[in-house]
Amino acid sequence: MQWRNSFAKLPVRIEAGLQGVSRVMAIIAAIILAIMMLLTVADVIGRYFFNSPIKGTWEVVGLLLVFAGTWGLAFCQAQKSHIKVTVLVQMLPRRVQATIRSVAYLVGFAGFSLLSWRVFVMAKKYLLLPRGNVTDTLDIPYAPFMLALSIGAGITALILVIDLIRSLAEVIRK
Amino acid sequence: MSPVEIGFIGLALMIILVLFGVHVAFALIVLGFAGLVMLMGLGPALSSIAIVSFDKTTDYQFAVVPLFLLMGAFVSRSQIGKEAYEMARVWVGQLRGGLAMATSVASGLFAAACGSSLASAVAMGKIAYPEMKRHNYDAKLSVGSIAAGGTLGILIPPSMGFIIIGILTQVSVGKLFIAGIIPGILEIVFYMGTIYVLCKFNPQMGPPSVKTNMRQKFGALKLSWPVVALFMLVIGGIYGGVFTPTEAGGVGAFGALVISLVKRQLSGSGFAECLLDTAKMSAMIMALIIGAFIFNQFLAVTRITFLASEYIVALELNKYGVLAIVLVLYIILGTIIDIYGILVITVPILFPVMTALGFDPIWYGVIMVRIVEIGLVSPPFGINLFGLAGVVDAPVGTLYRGVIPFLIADVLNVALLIAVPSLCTFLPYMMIGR
Repeated sequence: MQWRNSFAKLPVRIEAGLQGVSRVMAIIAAIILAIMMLLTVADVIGRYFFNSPIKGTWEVVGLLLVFAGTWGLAFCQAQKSHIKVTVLVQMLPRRVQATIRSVAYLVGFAGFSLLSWRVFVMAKKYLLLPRGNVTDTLDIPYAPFMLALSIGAGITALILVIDLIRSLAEVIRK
Repeated sequence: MSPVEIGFIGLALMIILVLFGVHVAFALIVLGFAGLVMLMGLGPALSSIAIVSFDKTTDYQFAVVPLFLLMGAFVSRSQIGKEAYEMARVWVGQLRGGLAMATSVASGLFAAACGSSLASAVAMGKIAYPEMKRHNYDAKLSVGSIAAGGTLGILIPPSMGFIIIGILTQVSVGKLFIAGIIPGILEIVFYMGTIYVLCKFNPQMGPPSVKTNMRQKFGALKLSWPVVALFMLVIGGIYGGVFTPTEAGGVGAFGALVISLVKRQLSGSGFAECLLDTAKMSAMIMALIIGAFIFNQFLAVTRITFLASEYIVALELNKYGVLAIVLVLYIILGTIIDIYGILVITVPILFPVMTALGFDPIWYGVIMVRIVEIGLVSPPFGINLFGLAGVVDAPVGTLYRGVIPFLIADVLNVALLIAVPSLCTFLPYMMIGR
């Protein structure tokens, strides 16, 4: 009986776990955002006051943008903050609304899982490249940042699966 | 099917999906990908979406998005808006409708440090609405001036709208920023004029507050130093060619952080919330950017934008006729979709057409932002009105009626910008850097 009970709770646990993961990722994105800010300021101050800019700031800030820009994607979905039009849908019956929502989540899931998969494939390819797999100035390898993007998109896709299941349940519900 | 037909089907499907509530970013990514598969085959389409998304999420120039969002978050949380309002009130509060005029001025000052319109409207709603209510201001006038003032947020630099246009069109973000300054000041003047006229006809709407003398007025000026300092630092730096827009964003966010810390207006938890909120907002905009570029890749392969420009130019229509149609379209879109969604959907298609017709790209950028903002506060859907309704305790109906005189002023204001384009282009073309 024990195992059956915990099995029933599994979906809830998975959802809570994913939401926790998305939150932690958003916190990491937030911390990296602060680092980008400080790095930019340090570079500007170094350039104008000490005549010594920080080498490769552009590269590092650009690469960090992967985290700042995409590790919040899952959290943004968990909080339902992605932009959409609501005025027309609001006028429709509940079940139709839920059906449309399911389609929207399915589309989102398709998009982000494709991105996650293909960027992962690209990262693997870059790891095997003899040359051209690092940045010009600082020789930072690209592959880890590709993995970061793949993870950011992948967790978003997983959150969308949960949302999809929920909205499908709403469609079926009497 | 020819590439052009596929392109049109893609566009039509996108509009349908978005209208029925599919998230803009999701629709762009998936339809862009599907279109690429049809035109180039599965293999090239799959590698293309990976390359595009990695390219765009690691583009140094796009780091301008989170950094300016962060600056806006710090500014919204500090007392900068409140102090700007207090200063404006000392200067114009004694006039009829003075507190509402002060709202317009303070919205403009707030906008000089924050780049989002809803954030500006919400901030002013919290600060100015209780004051106007306490002084028996007509609720319509109060909420109208707040809602309208919010639209300054995205016109006066820094502005997220200009940043997105710059990203999508390769037009210099710095020049767009500078181009927003004069139209922004004009907008404040137009709003103050509107309030003056309204109170002239019906003095009950906005009773004057106590008179202040010159000493108090000049004493109050120091309340606005944070805004002035941030604006000079960020926009002055861009104008003088000292910073790139991305650097200006970093410096501006840091400046806003330092000011709020020095003035003890930001706690540790407030700081953390600003960062987390910005991470969420950045992801929202980054999703749109990824989607926009994947969809653009598809449109570029269809050559649809190129052919559309060629076709419309060949028709030899009056370019102002075309502009009028586009502006009406933007107002309608503005009432139902968020400005960032509108920009990523429409700019890649309409921007090349409009510039091919001979409109100045920077001028057109300003007009576009200005007009979408009108949509955002237009009844019956204007989404900024709903955002504001949550902050002020006035029914949405009051908001609708209150905002109408300001919309009339907006239309006159845009007509002036169309008649005299140099109001938008004079400053940016004098700029030193890019």
